Amino acid sequence: MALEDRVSDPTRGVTVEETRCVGSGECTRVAPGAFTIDEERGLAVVVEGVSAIPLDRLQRAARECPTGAIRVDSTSRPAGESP
Amino acid sequence: MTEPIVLDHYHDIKEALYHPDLSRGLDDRSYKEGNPRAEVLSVLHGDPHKQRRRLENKLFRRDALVEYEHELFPGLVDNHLEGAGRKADLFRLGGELSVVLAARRAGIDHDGGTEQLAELWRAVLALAQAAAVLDVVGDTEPVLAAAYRVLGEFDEQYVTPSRRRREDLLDAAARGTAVDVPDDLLTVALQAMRAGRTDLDHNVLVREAGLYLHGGSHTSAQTLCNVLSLLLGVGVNNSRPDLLDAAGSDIGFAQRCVHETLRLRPTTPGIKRVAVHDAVVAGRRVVKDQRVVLDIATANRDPDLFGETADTFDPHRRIEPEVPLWGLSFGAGPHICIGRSVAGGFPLHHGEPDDGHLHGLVARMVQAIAARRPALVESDPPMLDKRTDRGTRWARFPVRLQTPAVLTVHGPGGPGV
Repeated sequence: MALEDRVSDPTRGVTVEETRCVGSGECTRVAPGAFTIDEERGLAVVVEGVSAIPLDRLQRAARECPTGAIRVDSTSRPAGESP
Repeated sequence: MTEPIVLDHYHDIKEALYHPDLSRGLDDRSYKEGNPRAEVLSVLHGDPHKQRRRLENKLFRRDALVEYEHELFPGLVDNHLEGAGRKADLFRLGGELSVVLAARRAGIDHDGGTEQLAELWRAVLALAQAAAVLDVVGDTEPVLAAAYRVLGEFDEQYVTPSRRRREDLLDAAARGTAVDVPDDLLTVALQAMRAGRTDLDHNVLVREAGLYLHGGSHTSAQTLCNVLSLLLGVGVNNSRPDLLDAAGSDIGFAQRCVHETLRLRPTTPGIKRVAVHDAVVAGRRVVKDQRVVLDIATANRDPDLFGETADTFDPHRRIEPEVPLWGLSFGAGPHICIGRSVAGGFPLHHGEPDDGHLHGLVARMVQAIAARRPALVESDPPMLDKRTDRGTRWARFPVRLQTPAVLTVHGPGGPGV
């Protein structure tokens, strides 16, 4: 996937693929604090708070995204959580 | 014409629903300009579809859902049920209840009176038939003609006046006047049109508002009837008074009943797509213009996912969290039902729901009706709608109700009387 299609949070390996995202907001429901919706563009955006969100919640957000736009790097961990 | 391919395995269907080369714009007569569904959200494909979803998804944010379910709907339900008396047609009752909020979300102003609600519901019935035109039994021309006529009346009596009010509000806001600009389909569409961010025109807006009206009410009314048909044992003489009472006193259990019903009786049991290019879908080759039928009804009964009792109604069913309790009944992928959280609430699996969990408007209706211990009317039994071959649509669903409500809501964990 082309790099320009992803919005990355380098601290957690969580990305939203803009070409797939339609701004449904499921991610903000499942993992509030990790995502917000840019209502101007109608797209989800990863925010700084993602570093405090447990991995399983992020994975659930990825799973429940209706368009499969969220990728969670399986090696990512929140601050303080051991692998 | 090449024969359609049928997929009936859950994961194959899910792959198909995400596939970029399968479109919902099925055939010119039913889905192109000049017909009641031209260019509405549900038949768009690719980038036009994404742009429209991005515009309209903002209408389904949590704040709006909370307002509908916790502030607006409870009073509506109580008033309608008290007004219904001791005998009610649940299909019409559920439809008219749902259409109040569907109209609000669409930006369709009405006076809230019984006459206009009945008028809007009649419009919904015509538009819902047109939406299922490919499943119509018999001649489709009268169905489409009825939908055109209804859309014309709907535009003249409701959409154009509602649009005019919103234009005035937006003009006032642009002049710096403090006004309450509504948050609904017409308003967000007009804002986008004014900003040049959409190619929506008035005709498409009328059809889109019609989509919101029937999409936000008809399937909810059908699901309400399907839940009660399972709880009351319609056609099988296997009523479940224990489950009925549990649904009447526990909103969480009512929601489980709704999800299990949706699994067993999807309102669209066979989702249809057409290939826009030659492609490979779930390991099978499809050619351009070939239809693909996604057999949701079968996939939702897969014993590997839903257990050995997958064919039976069991609201206590436990399944793996990766699979929604409703299976594929809301679809998946880019065209997943935009109103699923309004009608069905948030997904529910094991354990207690989070704070802020929403149960959905259909569960709210089920709970309120079950609390009045509905009973079938022997002389006036429920009737399926045979005008389509979907098998999950009702034409009428008469019941007797006990008023006031016999049961009170106890909350998650157990029934209360």
